[in-house]
Amino acid sequence: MIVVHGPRVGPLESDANVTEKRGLWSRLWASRPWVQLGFLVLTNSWFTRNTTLAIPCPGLNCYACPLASMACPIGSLQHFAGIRQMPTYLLGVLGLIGALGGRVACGWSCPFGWLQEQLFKLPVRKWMARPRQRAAWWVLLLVSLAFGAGVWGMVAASLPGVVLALYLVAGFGLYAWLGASRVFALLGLALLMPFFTQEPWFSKLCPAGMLEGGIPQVLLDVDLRALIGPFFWLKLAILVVFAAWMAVTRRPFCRWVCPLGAIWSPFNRYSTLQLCVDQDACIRCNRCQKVCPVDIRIYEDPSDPACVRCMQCVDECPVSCIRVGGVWGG
Amino acid sequence: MPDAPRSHRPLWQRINQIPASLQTRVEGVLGNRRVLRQINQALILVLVAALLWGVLRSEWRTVLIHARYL
Repeated sequence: MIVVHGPRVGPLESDANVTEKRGLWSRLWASRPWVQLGFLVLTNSWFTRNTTLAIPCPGLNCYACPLASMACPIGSLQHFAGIRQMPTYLLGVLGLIGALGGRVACGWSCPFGWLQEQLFKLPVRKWMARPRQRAAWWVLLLVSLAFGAGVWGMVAASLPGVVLALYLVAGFGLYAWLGASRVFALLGLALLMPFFTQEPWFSKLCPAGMLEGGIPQVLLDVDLRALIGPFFWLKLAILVVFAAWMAVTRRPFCRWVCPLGAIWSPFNRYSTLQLCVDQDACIRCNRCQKVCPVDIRIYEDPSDPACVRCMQCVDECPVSCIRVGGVWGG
Repeated sequence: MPDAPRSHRPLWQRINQIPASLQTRVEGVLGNRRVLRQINQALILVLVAALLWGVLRSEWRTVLIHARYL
């Protein structure tokens, strides 16, 4: 029995046992939309705000939302970068989620992920795009060092903001070409830029922030409407573009932009929770890809960094060759 | 299907493959289940320590104050 990149699984069980277990697991996987909805309510329950606002949300949820009851992990990360302090508490919380479940939070508790899945259900023509193969880690490391040095040099030389903005656009293009646009969002917009400029650059452009924070605040506060400028309209345009993209492509924000996804992606290979594929039993029917919210073929790499651990493929597989396992045992 | 001729591959793919033997060796070691388990164990230990250290330094208060006065 061969398992690609994932932990090995034990011998296959009898058909009756498999059917019985699938029934139990199926009910659990089928509850995912309700779990997602539950987290959406939990992270936006205004009345728990005083006690839970210090806890980073297990997903992308803007804490500028008037109802937010948990902290945005990326907003907090930018704040720590801005005050130049090591965010050990934040990294501990986010890292533990990753070390235990990989990107499981993306699939089960991220409110923005849930929104993307709902928009994809709209009856419009779909455009199935697959991210290009990502460059090797050592290439990304070299590029990141050069990019960071460039940002530092430009800020130190006090170059005009337009030059910096052009540099950022070029940087985004380079990372996107290397198949690592999420790394750019994390490293460039959420860490380096806030570190050097004391401004939360990712939050300034974040469509989730516009949807949950910007629009409701402007609607609720009359005084804020007087402050609306070109930046507000730019953010609104970004939100509209992403909303349209989400309707035609599966979870585009998670796959190409989300810095939180960039943090959790590498954990997929080393997390306690793992997906296992029996390569001998797999018939390559691609039904796993048809139900996958990030459009991957799990049999190609059960530890794929894009996998959000939604477990839809486990339920969908007609020969039950995909199963949930762990790094500790099959 | 055989791979495309070397000269027809995109530049970045060719750059990717320069230290292929090193990468294959690293992936071989990391693909070992026992090594994976040890990495997972070490990660959890380090991250729990980081979390506790952050809590002891009251970093949660920094998060709270920043979020509350946003």
